[in-house]
Amino acid sequence: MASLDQIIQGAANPFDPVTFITGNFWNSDIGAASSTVNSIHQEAIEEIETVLDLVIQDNYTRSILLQGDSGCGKSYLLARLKKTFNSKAFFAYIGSCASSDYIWRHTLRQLVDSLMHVPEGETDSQLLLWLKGLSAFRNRGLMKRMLGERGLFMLNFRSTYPTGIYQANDFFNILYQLTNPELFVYACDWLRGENLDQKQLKPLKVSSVIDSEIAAKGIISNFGRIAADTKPIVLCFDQVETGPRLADNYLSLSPYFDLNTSFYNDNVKNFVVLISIVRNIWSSYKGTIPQSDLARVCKFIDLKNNITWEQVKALWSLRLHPLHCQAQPKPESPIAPLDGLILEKRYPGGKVNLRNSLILGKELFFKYKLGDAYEEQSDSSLASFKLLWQQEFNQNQAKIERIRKFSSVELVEMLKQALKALGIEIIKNKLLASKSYSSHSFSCQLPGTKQNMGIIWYEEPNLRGLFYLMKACQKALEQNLCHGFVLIRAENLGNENNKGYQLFQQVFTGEKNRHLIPELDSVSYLRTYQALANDAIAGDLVVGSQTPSLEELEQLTREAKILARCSLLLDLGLVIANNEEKVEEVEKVEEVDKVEKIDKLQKIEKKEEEGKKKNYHSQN
Amino acid sequence: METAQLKFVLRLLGTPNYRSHLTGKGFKDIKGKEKICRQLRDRGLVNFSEEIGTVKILPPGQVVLEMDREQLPIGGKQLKLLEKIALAKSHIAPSKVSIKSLKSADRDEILQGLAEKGLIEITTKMKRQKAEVWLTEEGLTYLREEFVAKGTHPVISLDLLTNYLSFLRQSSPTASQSQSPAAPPVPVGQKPTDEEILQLIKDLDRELGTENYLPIFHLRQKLQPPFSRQELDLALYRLQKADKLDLSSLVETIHYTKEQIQAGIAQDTGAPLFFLMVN
Amino acid sequence: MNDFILNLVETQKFISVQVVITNCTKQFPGVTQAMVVDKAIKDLAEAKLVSIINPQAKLEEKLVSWVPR
Repeated sequence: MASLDQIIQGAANPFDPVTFITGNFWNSDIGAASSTVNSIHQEAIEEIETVLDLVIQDNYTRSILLQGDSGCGKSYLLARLKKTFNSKAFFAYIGSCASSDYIWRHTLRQLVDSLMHVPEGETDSQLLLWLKGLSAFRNRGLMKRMLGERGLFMLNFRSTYPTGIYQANDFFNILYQLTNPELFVYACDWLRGENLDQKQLKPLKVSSVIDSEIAAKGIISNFGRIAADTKPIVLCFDQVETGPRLADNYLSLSPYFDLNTSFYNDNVKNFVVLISIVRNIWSSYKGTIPQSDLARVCKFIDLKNNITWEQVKALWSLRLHPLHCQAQPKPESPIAPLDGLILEKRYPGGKVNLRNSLILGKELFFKYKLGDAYEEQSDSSLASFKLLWQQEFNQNQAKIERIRKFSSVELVEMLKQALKALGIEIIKNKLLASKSYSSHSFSCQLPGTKQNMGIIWYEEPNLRGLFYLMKACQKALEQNLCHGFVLIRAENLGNENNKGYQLFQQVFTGEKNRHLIPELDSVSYLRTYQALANDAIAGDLVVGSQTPSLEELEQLTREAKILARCSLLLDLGLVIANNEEKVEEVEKVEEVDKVEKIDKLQKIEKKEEEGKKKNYHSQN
Repeated sequence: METAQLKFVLRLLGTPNYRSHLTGKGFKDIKGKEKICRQLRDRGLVNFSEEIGTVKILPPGQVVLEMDREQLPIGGKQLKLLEKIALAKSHIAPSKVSIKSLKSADRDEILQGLAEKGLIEITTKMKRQKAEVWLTEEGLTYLREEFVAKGTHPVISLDLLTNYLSFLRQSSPTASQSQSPAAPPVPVGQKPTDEEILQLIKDLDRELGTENYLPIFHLRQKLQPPFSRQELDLALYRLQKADKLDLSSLVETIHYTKEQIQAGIAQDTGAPLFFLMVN
Repeated sequence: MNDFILNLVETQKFISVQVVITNCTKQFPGVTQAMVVDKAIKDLAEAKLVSIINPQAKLEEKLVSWVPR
């Protein structure tokens, strides 16, 4: 067995979020368990538990506003809540919503997505487990033979919930279809608010789709109503500060509070609405929220900005534990090789921000590992960024199984955000006038030209919708709103028998108007960039030892030339491919000074030998 | 001034910032302290923290209850409380109109709001728990310049006398000239103690209405000089260590000028510490 | 994957081959130890972008270091 020093020489930095194996909190059940210091935010967890217990008791929806400094551990807390109260409630993560006109639909979609997740150790998704746990589902008996399964299912549910269900027929139908493995995906898509095509709707036997805020609210309310039989649903609204900005960069929080107030005004039961926001942002904007909306928040929880020296040491020892386990002899201090005294020097206030303490741990670890060489090292922030990008990209790629995981409105928002990083100006935000399509379209300036390019991304399967979209395009072209259109659509366009397809053929011929079929990977690029951008806005992005702002992230993205690998952006003509890069790299390397290299190698070998000597001595 | 009152006042002079909890050392065991406090308050010499004693509905409140649901200017909990208050024939204690699951602190806040709107009337009384009492400006002036004691019996201890002497020495003519208009006097040439800094933060916060989220540049303006930037930073750290103060970081920089932002305490990583929050 | 390993070594300065393998298998499901060691690291070392400090040592003891430009 090796000594701690030897292990450190070979180890990746355990404080580096990229290499820290169990770092992904929300999705990894193992992660949260092994990296918890229970005392951190313990009071907040207890307060939230009290509220949760109240909801379990009387079924009334309650809201909590969670505020804390960026880096104080808000996301860490949300993940711990999920882990700790998994048996008491369902947790749905509702991420940043870019468009306030779609907030209910966004919430519904993310709620259903969360419920579609398969918990560890199970084969069925949360949604199915939930469904199968309902009493109305289990009541079978002889009636089955008479009414047929679907009939019996509908009867049971209708009698269990005789009133208060929005679009009861359609909703119960869909619940039934969830149990059919062939139709499960379509049923989920219906619940997620997709505008399905007739062909997909037919087997589902429903008469409508969820295509308005009111309908989305109705379905969410249905979930709540039925949740009374099982467990309440906790909606975790995270990164609220990344929401839509109005003129002057002014953040609008009212969509969230309007949504929250609606829960009470419309008597939607069995939810816990948990809104998490950066303290600074909350204090800047809380004055904009009407008193009546604030009165609907049952609890305001203030997360402590900082953790104590003791808690820092506990966190450090958790991170170092895997290395200590491999070491022989066992180190005396649980935080070896780090020294707790530095905390007194750097943070004389006795307290430090959680994230900063991890970054400090990383810095100290490196200093110990590299010794003298530490001061001489060159800036590796670009490499850190590229590494972070690769990790995030790979994770997203694994999660994104199809383009329609995201709504078309979300896809457009991602595209706009990527354009901002490329420095491309958006000329008109909602290009098409019609309310159904305005958020699916925008125009921007094609680089290198004076052309005003209209872009539409429409993935709704409904071909009738496609027809009206084509009409809207025609009108826009007549009004000269843009030079030409690019329609991004991977979904089916129909065939000669569909009016939509016919009109599409008419409009999208020639050079001015193009049709692009996006690749799945492109969506991974856009989604990854969006997630990083949102983190930057919230002050949560960590690259190396820095927390870049949005502008700094945009800079890094350009330097790393990442978006130039996104095929959709390439096809749109918004970036140029970078083929010249690889050749340059190889040439530079051959110029490396041999002497310098040998010198460095000798230094490292020396350290290795010293390490072996230490080991030898300590064994004797 | 009666002896009991004098002793009380002198005891207060011995506390930091001339302020104490009624359950604090030296005050816990005073007999009839509530009465003494009230008497002293009537004379304008002290003040104490109060809570709502009773509530009663006023005519405008009745009108609100008769209004259409949609037009109501107030929300759910406020309405419920108002309804309960209306049921009582006259003054009633807040505990009797409480709603289940509503903490008393929240309830009192709502009642305060209703009173501000003119919908109910409230009477106040000294807080039953965690009440604080403090010497007012007039009280301090009175003690400094006017009070005259008479009589031959020894009624106060030497300790209490010393409190008075220290107070008088601190408030010497040279010191009182350099008073900043809004805050307790900061003696020239003498750096404020940590407690005084904390009090100044509270006062500035109250004045500026920053709701316990005071941007640090306001404090620096007041205290540099006599402090250097580093000295003030260390004082703030001491207060943080003693759990009396917390520091919060600045994320939305657009609301402040460059100079103001630079007043924040820079961190190795992340945003500067910019807001002061008293615990 | 070569880019990933390169960035990893650049940010860590030096790191054991074992840890590189662990990280790669986590990031790129389906990748084998051979692909990491016998192909990727070998290619990068030949291109002089990284260097193996103790090429004669056993696999568990091998360390890779970053070669600054």
